[in-house]
Amino acid sequence: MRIKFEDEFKNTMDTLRFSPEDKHRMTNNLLQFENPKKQRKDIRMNKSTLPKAAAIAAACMLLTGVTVYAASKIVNYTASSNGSYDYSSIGEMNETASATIGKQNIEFPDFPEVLGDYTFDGGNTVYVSGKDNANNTVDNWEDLNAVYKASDGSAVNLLMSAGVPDEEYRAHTEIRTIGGVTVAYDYDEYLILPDEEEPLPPKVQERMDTDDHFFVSYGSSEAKTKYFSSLSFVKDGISYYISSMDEIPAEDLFAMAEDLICK
Amino acid sequence: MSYLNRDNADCLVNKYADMILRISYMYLKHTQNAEDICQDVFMKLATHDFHFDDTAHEKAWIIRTTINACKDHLRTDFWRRVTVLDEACDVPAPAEPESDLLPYIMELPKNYRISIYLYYYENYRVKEIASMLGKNENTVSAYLTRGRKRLKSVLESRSDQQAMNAETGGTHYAN
Repeated sequence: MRIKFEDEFKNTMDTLRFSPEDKHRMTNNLLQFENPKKQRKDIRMNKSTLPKAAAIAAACMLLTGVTVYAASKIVNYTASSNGSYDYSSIGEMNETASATIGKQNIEFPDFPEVLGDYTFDGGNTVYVSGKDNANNTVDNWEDLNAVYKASDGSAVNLLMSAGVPDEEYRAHTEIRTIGGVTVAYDYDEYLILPDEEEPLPPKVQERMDTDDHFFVSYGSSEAKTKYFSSLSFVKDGISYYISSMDEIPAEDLFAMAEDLICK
Repeated sequence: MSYLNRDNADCLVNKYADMILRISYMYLKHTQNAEDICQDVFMKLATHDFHFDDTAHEKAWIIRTTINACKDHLRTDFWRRVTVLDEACDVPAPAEPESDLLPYIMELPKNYRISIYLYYYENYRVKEIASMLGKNENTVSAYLTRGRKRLKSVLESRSDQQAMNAETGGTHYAN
């Protein structure tokens, strides 16, 4: 008996299916979609050196979650957002932007519907609070984050914040001036390790100590490396962070910044 | 579909959940996140007012959205460490299929795997696969050709082994 590749492949894939119980549970969950639970998922990161942009973007990229990171003035920040998009259209997003008054009574500008080759996919309010050593909340505010996607599925986050901008402690990968605004670009490497308990290899520790664009985090099932591109600037009191994990060229990010600055 | 009731939710799940599971398994190489991906895709369908020309149009949208959801999961997975357990985390993932052939397919790059799945299992043409993956047709043809070539050498050596076993009543495999 000769079995064709196609037949064996089909027979194999036919066996992969959800159980009736799985499907019943999915149906029940689907019927509750109007009230998605706020899922809490903690992100454990190198708290002392994680850039604020990366940490907030991490919370937003999860489409949920709480992340903790250190900052120069407040001991740490927490950022959280809902388990699904709060705003599914650019109209809803900008209604919220108009209604949100940031710190120092700064108004948010409109989010664009298109950012380079990326189109608005959805957005969230990000609840940020700054805490002191005793974990008391000393400051809190709302940032807005929009996710933009290209036809190939790659994504870019645009976060607007009216909170207190952090002082950057490190040298940026590149800095340009666009329309009189200083725009900083960073290309960061993240080494994700499975076990926080093991001591770091000496070379990794050395790199952490000397390379401003190298970070270590934990939680992967196996060691892996990811790259995070981010670009930030301040205009009219609003901090803008554009970020992606999809290897978007720096020139594309700078072009997006130019569109936002010069509009 | 912008309104869900029990009937149409059941219909959606019964119609597409297994397909979403298969695509996410081919893309991610495991079934752990398949239920999350199903939820993501169905919620997107349920919360937007999409109008599909026909069932084929709807199915193609589901496939594209599933692939994008898999990419999102790959992107976010490394940030995620769940420390608060809820009911969903106690639910076992669907059992992965067992097959002598599958390990070889799963060693191929993910674009080859997805193309092979869409071509051989879902019977899509190269042009349709290219549209779903956001690639051009020549690229998808290359994925399929190279995937078959890499599998062929494996299958040939397996076929030789089977031929040797045939004398004792074994089974031949053809490419």
